[in-house]
Amino acid sequence: MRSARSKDDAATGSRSGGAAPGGWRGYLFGAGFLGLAVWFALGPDLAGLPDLRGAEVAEPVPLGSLPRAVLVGPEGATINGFLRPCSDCHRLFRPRAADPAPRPLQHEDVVLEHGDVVACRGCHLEPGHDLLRLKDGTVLPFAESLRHCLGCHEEVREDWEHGLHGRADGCWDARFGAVRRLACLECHDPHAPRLPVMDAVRPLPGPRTLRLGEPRAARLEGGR
Amino acid sequence: MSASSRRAFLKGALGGAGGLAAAAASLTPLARTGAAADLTLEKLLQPHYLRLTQEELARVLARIEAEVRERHGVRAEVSDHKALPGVEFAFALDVDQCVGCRRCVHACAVENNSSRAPEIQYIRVLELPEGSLDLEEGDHHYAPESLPRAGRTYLPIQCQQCANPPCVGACPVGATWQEPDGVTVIDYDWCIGCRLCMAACPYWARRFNFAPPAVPSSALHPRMDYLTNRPRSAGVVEKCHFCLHRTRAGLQPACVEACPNGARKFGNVLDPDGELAWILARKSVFVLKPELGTLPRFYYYAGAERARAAAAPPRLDGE
Repeated sequence: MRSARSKDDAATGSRSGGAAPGGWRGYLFGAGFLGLAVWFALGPDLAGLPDLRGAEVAEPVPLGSLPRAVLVGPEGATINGFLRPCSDCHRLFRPRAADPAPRPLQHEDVVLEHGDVVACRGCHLEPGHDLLRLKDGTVLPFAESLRHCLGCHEEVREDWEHGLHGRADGCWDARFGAVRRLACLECHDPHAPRLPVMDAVRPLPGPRTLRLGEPRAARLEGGR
Repeated sequence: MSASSRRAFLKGALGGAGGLAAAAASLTPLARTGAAADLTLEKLLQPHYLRLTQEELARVLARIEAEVRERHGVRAEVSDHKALPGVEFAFALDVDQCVGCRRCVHACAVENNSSRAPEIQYIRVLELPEGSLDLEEGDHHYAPESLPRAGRTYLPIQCQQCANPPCVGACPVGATWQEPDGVTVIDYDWCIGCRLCMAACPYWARRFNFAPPAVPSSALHPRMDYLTNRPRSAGVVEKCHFCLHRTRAGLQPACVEACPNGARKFGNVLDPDGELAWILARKSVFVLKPELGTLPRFYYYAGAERARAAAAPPRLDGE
């Protein structure tokens, strides 16, 4: 091989009078390019792309609002299959003042964890329990529970009125269409408002994006 | 013709053929990405979005509609909402309310026809130790049975729509720019896929289509805009655009609509009576990486701080 090349070199050189001593290099470049071409076409995937042909297309994740628990009961209690207004019973039966959180058979679904409010009459007007009573003595129907809540929760009132506390449905500006702010009881249980229904929600699947890759060992777990 | 000139000719022809073969072969990795597959002459000769005349724009929108019909069998409605006068969009996120449920992430992907395989998501949610803002500590892959976990803070991050965007300056061809309403957008047909904008973005907000995006036709969102959620092709960059096809029509972005807790607030920052003005005036607001001078329009705030302060008043004893 070497001898052939040098002969070629010598021949070219002699013929062109020594002006282009590297004429054989043309073949070398050509061969090099051809080799490169073959390598590009058959060789490794230079773009470094992961093989995505087998990747399955994920099913669309069902979205929409989370199922919220029924927080606001009917205006009364269902007893023996009949919906009765509170006053049907509470005209006669009054919770004992000494009993902080009475849970009789009819109300065993009610858990009272409402800060300083430790008895029914903290919010329900006695006698009758058909109305709500604010701490300043204002009497409101159940339908105005929003006013009732904000009567005490001053710190939330401003935020709620400006659309900060809780979510809003509709448009981002009222000039385009309806804006509806969710009322207190659409998220909070009035008897145990501490935790909204969003407590204990299961997260949707995490990322499998190329940039974020596969999950690594949770550093948070290891570090603590 | 002498032997030497024939030899020279052969030599030249061989070299030329080799060179051509090499040049063609060097483009094969590009062809493997599928970027060339949906490149038509019409698309190649199309002017930049900002230079399109009304008629040209109408033709382009019709072409995209036809492409969607051909590829997905879906009758899409491709429009082009222009910026609203007197509006500058901004976003605020209450880190106290976010529980990290990732509903925004998936709602965004559905709304914006983002590729499902490989997955492209504009929003990523970091789980951080409570009280920490060290993003390096964050975990993207948390998967507990139920959320939120005690002692953790959740921080969703997407395009911050900077007022001084480093990505726009990095683009060598002007394929990404800031709209009058403050949102940085991309002309997917003008993008050359160099990914310099991705390198320039300090927030990891931009995503690259390494492969032709795969969106199931049944899940294709048919209301599209040129600058936002129309189908992309391989080899272009995309990112969050505050759902301009929705927000310029008055609707809230998909992530805001999906958030079950109301942690996300969106609006016109120029409106003195709007939510954003209230948040900026009354809340402790922070932005990510303020030292970079990017001036993000994506604000984070701690909405429950007043309640927290009331529960545990700050201790002033001791230096």
